[in-house]
Amino acid sequence: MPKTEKKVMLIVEDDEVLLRALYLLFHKGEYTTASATDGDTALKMTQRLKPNVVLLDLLLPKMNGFDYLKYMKADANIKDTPVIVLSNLGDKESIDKAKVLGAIDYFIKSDTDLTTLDEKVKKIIKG
Amino acid sequence: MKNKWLNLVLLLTNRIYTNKQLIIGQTGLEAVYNIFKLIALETILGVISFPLYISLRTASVTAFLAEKGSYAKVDFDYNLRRVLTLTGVGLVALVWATKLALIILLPKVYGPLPLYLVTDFRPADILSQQLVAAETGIQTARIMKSMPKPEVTGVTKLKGGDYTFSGSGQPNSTVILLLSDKQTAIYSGDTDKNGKWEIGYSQTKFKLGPGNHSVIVFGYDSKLGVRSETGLEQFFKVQTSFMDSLVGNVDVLANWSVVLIILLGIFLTFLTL
Repeated sequence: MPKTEKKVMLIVEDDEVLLRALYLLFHKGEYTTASATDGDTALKMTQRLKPNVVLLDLLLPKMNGFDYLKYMKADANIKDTPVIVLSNLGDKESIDKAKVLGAIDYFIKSDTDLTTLDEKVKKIIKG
Repeated sequence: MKNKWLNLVLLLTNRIYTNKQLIIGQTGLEAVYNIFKLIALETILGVISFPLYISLRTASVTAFLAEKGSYAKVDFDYNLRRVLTLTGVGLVALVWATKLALIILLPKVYGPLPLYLVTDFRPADILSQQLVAAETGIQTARIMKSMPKPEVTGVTKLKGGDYTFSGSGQPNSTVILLLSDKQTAIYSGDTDKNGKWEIGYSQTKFKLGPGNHSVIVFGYDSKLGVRSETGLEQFFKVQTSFMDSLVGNVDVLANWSVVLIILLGIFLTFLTL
């Protein structure tokens, strides 16, 4: 059991292949990587783990990413958790909605270089 | 390098998502085209992402739980979303890999396939001159209405798929038996003093295919060059064992298995929609 508190990253992604890919990208021992495959579980895990950063997909079963952001920002204990959205939705409306709901950054899957995303996450976790 | 590979996985998952969205609003040939495109994308993703399946196993991670103020195990579980597709891809790959291995390795182990070796060219035994003469004599014999007709009274199946045909006819005469399949085989036998005859048939000399076959007999006198009218035609059924039919149709089954696997792949891909 580690003695010092390790930083936690929560990956919320329902696509198993991509979830595994993201886990492989971020799981380097610098921080603990946890995952959730639906919005409801993601919210419960956020309340429980209090992650240092959340990487959030928007199209999720049970509760979509927008609702997750809504409920998360309404919870005083976790409302300051930085959330980065990584989604297939590339329309301006979705991007604006996510940012209004509190996402600090928005990555569209078709245009995303995972190296950039990795650097962004590192910056947030170190900051 | 690793990031480029993971970027490709990300790009493919996005293309698959986009394609699925397209299919939802489409009908007709356009939809069929995009379904095949989707299957191709899923297949490529299945192959490319394969290392992710073997390198990462469902595990538990340790995380700090705020309410406990300490570390605890957290389930790290995946939804088995593409396992079905991956299974389909794996099966197709296995079938083709096995076929490829057989094509490459068999000639190395057993030498060139005998199919292409045409060195032993000689007439079949059945075409020996005596037999040809005898068959010609039977076929050209005149029908003598007064000659008694022999009858087939029994068809007995023996072990190994052989048959014995028996019947009655004029004592001490020759009986000719015609056994039909794709070709007709001619057998001859002699009646005893009581007029009983018996002719054996062996699968090793003339293999009968599965299904109904007919057998007819007539009497024959080679000295006079005459024969009787044919007796009543008898029918019997040849049934092949499951293993025989399996081995006999192995090529057809192998090809159908590929078709079935492809259909299964299409079905499984539909499940992931």
